Amino acid sequence: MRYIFLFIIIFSSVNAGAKGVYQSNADFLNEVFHNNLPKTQSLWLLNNIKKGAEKILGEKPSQLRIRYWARDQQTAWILEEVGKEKLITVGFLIENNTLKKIKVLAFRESRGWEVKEDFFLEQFFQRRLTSELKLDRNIDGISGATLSVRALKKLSRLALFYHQQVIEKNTL
Amino acid sequence: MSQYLQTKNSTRKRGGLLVFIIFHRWVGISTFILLLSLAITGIMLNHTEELKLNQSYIKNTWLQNWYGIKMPQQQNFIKLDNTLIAQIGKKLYLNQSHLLDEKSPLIGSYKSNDFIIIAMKKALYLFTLEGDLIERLDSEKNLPSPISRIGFSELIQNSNQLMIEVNQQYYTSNDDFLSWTKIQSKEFYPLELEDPKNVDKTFYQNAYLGNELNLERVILDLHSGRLLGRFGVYLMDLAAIILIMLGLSGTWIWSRRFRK
Repeated sequence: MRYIFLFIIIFSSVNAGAKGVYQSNADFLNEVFHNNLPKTQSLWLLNNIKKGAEKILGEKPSQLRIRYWARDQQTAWILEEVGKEKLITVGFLIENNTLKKIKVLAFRESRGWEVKEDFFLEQFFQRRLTSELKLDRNIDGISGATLSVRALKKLSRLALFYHQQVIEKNTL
Repeated sequence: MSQYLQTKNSTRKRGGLLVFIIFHRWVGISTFILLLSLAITGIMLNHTEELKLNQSYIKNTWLQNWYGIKMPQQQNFIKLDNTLIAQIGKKLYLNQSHLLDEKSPLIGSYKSNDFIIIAMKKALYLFTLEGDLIERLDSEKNLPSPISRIGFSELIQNSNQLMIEVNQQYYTSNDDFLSWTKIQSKEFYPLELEDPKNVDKTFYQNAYLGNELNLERVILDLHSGRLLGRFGVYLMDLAAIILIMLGLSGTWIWSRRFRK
């Protein structure tokens, strides 16, 4: 009985800390730009950019304008995608078409929160986008977090794709 | 003498059986409607997905009233030239298209040359003139909130100088709503909501009420008897008990006849 009680306490405390807002958008941006935040810019999803985003998402993007912050060859993006039912918010820092930092900022689903852990996110470090708009290396999944893993892969591809578009347009 | 007693006993038994048959028949007939309803609704519920019961909505006003479904108190309207923006409960409509769901109340709206701006208490939506979502702004995107009013500093409306009022402070954006600046303004001309009395609400009533009650719920309530309240549940319990009794009495009658 004692062990069951202990298990319930441990399990509930682990679960309680699982979902929620881990870092605010502003804190993430200040962290990646060392408290010297560049001004907010926007990328409009029109024509080919919209088509590319559609190819990655498998459906029409939910909005037509995406915010980003840029300095030198770096861009930062805060993107959202539904895991199973609720939105997962993820922050990205990209430099020279390579993923430099990825962080789950908010996770609202009841399952699959393991995607916020470093052991999983490390796989995305230094990833690039292929010409087919896929990641250049396979990302190992997490059992029980399939949909959250899928959402993070999509968002990583989107961030790298948006970065490419910004660089191509020389808007940096 | 013994033959007389045997005949009398047999007549009594036959009479008992006859009474039982009559009882069985009338109970069966009187509960037929209930049993039919129980059986048909049961079959329907077994095939909810194939029959798309959860996707079919009840438009009947009497049934909607019976379930106490009525229009929500939150009903806000804004007219922009030929465009009507309506918020019914949490549902937001652009003319007759359902745009999205947003709980916080509609504060105001403005149509510029490029955007339709819809301000809610805790969010601001930018739409294209065709109704495609450009962006949803909220406090995570530095939108000052809660917004109490939107308007202009001058009587001549200028889309670049759209202002939002937050805690009696005024903010404006000069970069297509990417950032906000606090401004001192002596004049503030708010954009007003439309008086609901001046709006033809027929479409919204049908759209809202017609999407609240699905057929699955009605069939389920008909099956359990809940459609008639607590009395209906007991009635269906009684029907189920009678069904059991009919089964038993039918078997008994059959066995008596078979023995003969």
